[in-house]
Amino acid sequence: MRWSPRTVFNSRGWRPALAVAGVLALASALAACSGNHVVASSSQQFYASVPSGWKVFEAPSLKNSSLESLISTKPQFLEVASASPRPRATDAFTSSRYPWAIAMVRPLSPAEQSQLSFESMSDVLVPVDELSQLGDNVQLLSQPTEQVNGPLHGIVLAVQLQGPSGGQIAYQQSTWVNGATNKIWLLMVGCSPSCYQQQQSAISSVMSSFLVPDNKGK
Amino acid sequence: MAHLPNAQEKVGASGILPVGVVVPLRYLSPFYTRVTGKNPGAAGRSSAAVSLVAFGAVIALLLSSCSTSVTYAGSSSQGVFFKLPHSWTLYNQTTLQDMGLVNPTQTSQAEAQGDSYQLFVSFASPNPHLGTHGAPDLSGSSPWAYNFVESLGGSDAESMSLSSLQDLVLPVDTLTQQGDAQPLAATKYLVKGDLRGTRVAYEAKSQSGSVSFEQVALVNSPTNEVWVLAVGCSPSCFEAHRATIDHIVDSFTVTGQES
Repeated sequence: MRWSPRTVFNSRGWRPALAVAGVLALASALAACSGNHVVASSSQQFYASVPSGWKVFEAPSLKNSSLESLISTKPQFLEVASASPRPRATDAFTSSRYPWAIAMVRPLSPAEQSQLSFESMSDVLVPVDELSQLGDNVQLLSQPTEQVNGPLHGIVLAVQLQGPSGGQIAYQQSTWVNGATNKIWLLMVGCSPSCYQQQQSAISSVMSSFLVPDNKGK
Repeated sequence: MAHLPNAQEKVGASGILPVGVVVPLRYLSPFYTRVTGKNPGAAGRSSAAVSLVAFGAVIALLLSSCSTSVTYAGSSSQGVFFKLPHSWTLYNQTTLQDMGLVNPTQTSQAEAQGDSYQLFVSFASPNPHLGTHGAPDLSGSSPWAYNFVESLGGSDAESMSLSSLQDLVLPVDTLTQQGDAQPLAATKYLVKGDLRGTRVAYEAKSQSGSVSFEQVALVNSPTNEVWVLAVGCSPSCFEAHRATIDHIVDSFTVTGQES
């Protein structure tokens, strides 16, 4: 199954948009060569690529999904992808036997802006710390690793926990925050723990494609 | 936490940095760098960046020599500068140790343990005897300026937020919750290149009385180093010297180090 590349463009300032568009065009071309799909937003400076067999869904498809219940602040960009042979938007953040990906950009509230630290970045979509304190079986599959790109900073981590609709979910998550600490970029890729083991290569490939351009002052 | 020595110790538990952490003397003096040509704080960083900072320091010194109204303070090796009125005295290292702001032994221990430790400390006041006999009197009628650069240890780096930056000199978050501190201005969030931070002003209770101060704190993108300048005195002094204090805080410049 092949899907055409999808890119969302909502340009504001033409100069950064042009630079990002250049990056995305190059990335799209490379993705096309490798048979991948681009999950991207020029206006929100988000880029990632998923294998061509994955189907990408936009935000409206996520109504009443388990993912929607986790989102408290309206995202500026939200797409999910599923590798299932019968893909659904609601595959995201479930213990599916096939990998899924969640791509999100959202503003940080004033309280989050003030309080956000490397420590609390793991909780921006799924409240990992809170679940752990409530006695849920939350297992860190890898220690959080800090990442820095100019003023952007963030963490990468891997977690296994009980999903909202039952069943264990294992996922990797990469988050970036801008210097002003008022915006966060997130990519999460996961599935059931056994799938996570088997699909480690594909999951890592999607994670490593994640790019948030370093635009000073953004 | 690098709280000033006469901060209310009862609220010290909210601190994010160890109390009284200090630095080997070799790090503390910009004079050391200028005289010896050595730059211990920049080990492992690009020579271009060091040259740029050194050039900036030379320009700053040249400019300061053209003016009789201001003195440039700071550290070229730590990439931090600010302007003080010419009449203010920059305290020497012996006095800083007497005041409890510098403790080389504790700094070495903190560094060895991977905890947060100070890379640079300076303290200035128009009153040259503000803290020559123990901890400085922050709530007196003489304004003061307290500047430090700190390397953040693992846990401090992980928990550092824009909110916790305001607690680096006095634990204003806890004091505010106790009703012992109130903001004098809305918090300003700052982004300067790869640095982010806050500018705050508070009136807070300390053991020796109420103190008002304005503070800028910046942290680098990897969140492993902070640059702080706080300027203040008693509330009435703060009002009387507000323009001078604003000028000092406005002049606070951090060129920082490569991320």
